[in-house]
Amino acid sequence: MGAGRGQLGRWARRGALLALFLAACRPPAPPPGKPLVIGRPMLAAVGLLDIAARHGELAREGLSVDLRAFPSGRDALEALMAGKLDVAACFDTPLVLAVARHPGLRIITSLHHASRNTVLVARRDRGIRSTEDLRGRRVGVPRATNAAFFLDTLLAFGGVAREEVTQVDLAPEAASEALARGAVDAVAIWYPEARRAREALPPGEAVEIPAEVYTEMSMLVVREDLLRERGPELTRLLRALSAAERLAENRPAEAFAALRAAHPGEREEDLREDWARGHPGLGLTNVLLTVLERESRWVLRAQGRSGPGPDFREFLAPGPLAAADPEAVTVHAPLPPPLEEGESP
Amino acid sequence: MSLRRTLVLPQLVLGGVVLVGLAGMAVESARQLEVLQRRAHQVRTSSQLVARLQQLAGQAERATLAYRFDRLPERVDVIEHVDLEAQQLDAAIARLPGGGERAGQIWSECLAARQLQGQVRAELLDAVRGRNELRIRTGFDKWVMATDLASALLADLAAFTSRQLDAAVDQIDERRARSMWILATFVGVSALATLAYSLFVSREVLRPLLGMTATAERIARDQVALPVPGRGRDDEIGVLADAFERMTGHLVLARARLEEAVKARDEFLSIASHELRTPLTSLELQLALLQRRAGNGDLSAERGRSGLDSARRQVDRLERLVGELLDVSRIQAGKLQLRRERVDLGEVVRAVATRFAAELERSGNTVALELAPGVVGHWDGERLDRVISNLLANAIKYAPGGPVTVAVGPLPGGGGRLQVRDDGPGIAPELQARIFDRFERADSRRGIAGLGLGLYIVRQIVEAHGGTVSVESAPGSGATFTVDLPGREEAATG
Repeated sequence: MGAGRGQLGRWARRGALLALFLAACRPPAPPPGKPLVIGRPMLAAVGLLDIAARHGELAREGLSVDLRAFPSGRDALEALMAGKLDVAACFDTPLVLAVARHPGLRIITSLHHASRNTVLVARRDRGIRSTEDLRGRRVGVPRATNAAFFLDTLLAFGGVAREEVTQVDLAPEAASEALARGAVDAVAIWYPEARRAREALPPGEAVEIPAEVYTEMSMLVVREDLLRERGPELTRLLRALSAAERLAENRPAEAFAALRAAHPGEREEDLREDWARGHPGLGLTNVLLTVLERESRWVLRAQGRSGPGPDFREFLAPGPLAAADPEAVTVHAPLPPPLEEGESP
Repeated sequence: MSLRRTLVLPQLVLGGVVLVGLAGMAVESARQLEVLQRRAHQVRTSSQLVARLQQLAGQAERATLAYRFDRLPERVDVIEHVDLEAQQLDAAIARLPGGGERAGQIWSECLAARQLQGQVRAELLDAVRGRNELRIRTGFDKWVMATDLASALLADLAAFTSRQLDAAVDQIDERRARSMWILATFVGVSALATLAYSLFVSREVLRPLLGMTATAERIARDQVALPVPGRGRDDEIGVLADAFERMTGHLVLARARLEEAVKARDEFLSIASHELRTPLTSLELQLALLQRRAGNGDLSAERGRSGLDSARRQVDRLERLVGELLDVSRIQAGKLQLRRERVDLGEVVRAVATRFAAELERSGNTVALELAPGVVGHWDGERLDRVISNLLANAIKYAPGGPVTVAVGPLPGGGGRLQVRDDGPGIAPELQARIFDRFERADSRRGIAGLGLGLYIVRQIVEAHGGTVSVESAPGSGATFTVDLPGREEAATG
């Protein structure tokens, strides 16, 4: 039996060598290639990107990402359309306005939705207490942003015609200064610019008016060609963002710490408040479709045109998200042509 | 380890592992299936409730829209009825377990959106009742927007529920595929284990047996003792190999002894035929001479007596040879019967010496008798005569012309001692132990006559009396044979 034990030992050694050989043969992790250039406004609303970057979810997916800051989502979208970015984080209104010019844009996921992130900040000393008081006033608003759609919605709900208000185009970062010096009576702007505008006025002099029924959404947009060329990278990006979303749900303190690290210039309480205003989450949903269609009709009306507008399902690219987080895709794809007899679906 | 344990234990372990594995798989599969079936039931129920909610939402929207243009109270009744049932459905959906965080999130947003929709609708209905056109217009826009959002969320909830049903089905498929994979792996591993076990059995059991078979064939062919494979193992194979090796050793030894015995027998037959022929030839020649002389008429009385004496000696020699053979035959057959009687050992010695007188004279030996008186025992006199004759004949044969001493004395405690001493060439120490065996002679090279049975017969007779015989000798110093015979009582037990 002694000889048997020796034999057993030899077999064990051979097994260990085989295991080492197989381990050595395992393919290595893919090396990071050209970085994915992502542009986004420095807003808590799109904070999932910062959390994924700062907390290491992007690195864990083996992604090399170049995150760039823009004053607004509109600017990021412009940069994308100019070919300076691979991915842009923007809000609904700029996209609705852009698709007419760039039919090759594709939404790969939403990043958040919120109903009280964009508000109207007005000067109390100009007698503004409610929406009706805006008649005849000058209201500053960044052109072609969701703040413009917000303002129109607010006016409509308040029974104020667009023509009764003078809309002044403002850069987001210039809103607070314009309101403070009285160049405008009110500004329609999102947080944290809304806070800056409020704080630019003396205490108690700012009136904040939200819209009761209003939803804004941020999303990640790519060009169609990037889907073909770097589809797997986009899937990994969305997988990392999905992990960041789970982190925000399950370990909110850890997620906020990562977000805080990306916004060192913000006061912590302000950032916490802005983060709490929205609902971060990936998705390609019917709500997103509804928001886009509604704004599309608004754009058509504003342009004096009529018609159903584009079918936004054609601008959705559900592939990467369906691969990364299948449950997040609840929107129905465009209906396929009817099956011929003998064809299989 | 016992071979039984080596063979049976792995089978029991393997069988046990397979049974436990299969039982575990069956239990786990049943448990998973139950979980998935329960989940599928929940999802199906949830899906049905959401579908009903969508239908009710549609009814409420149509009623609200109709009420704006036609203020019939039934429209409001429909809305209130829908709200009531929707609340019940909301409670039922909230009670459904599971669904995950995302489902909970969509559901809570859906509830909030419908609540907002309800508030906006209430404002609209109020404006319609108050016929305030501005409020109707703005409220209607707001209601449309809120309804769009609530409908979209309901659609998302329905899609998500439907996707969950798909996911449950996918999970069932995945579990089934995984179970099949595990089963296939299990079967594969079992097959490999069985193969390994077969190889193990082959190595542990069959190979040693085949080795033993080959060794047995070699032993049979080459007639040599060889080491047997499997020796030294501490199981049944080892025991068998050891026994087999011992058996082959014994066989080879027995064969060698048999060959030696056959060789001794052949040698004996050669010697015996020679020993018998020599006196017969002499006798024949003597008788032929006497016959011819008698025929020629020149046979004197002197010549006749001399011839007859010579013939008589040859007959005695023949008689002694035949007697020895008969004794050996009796001894071999176990038929050596002693006829005990009161015997005076000295008298027997004296009678033998007298009978050998002529022979001693011819050989030139001188015999000195040292006989103590009264050495008497209960012995077989004739057999003791044979003992003394053989010892004396040996002395004449091996020490011709020398002095021979035959001494008889009492043994302490009874019995008698007989000693025959000669001054012959002596016996080598290595031969002293063998000379009392059959067909053994002290020196066969010198052509000394004899069958090699004399000392053998001596020992058998002495031992039959319960006595002992021994020799003391050194090369060149002669030999002394000592026979100790027990007294009456010892002899009786012997």
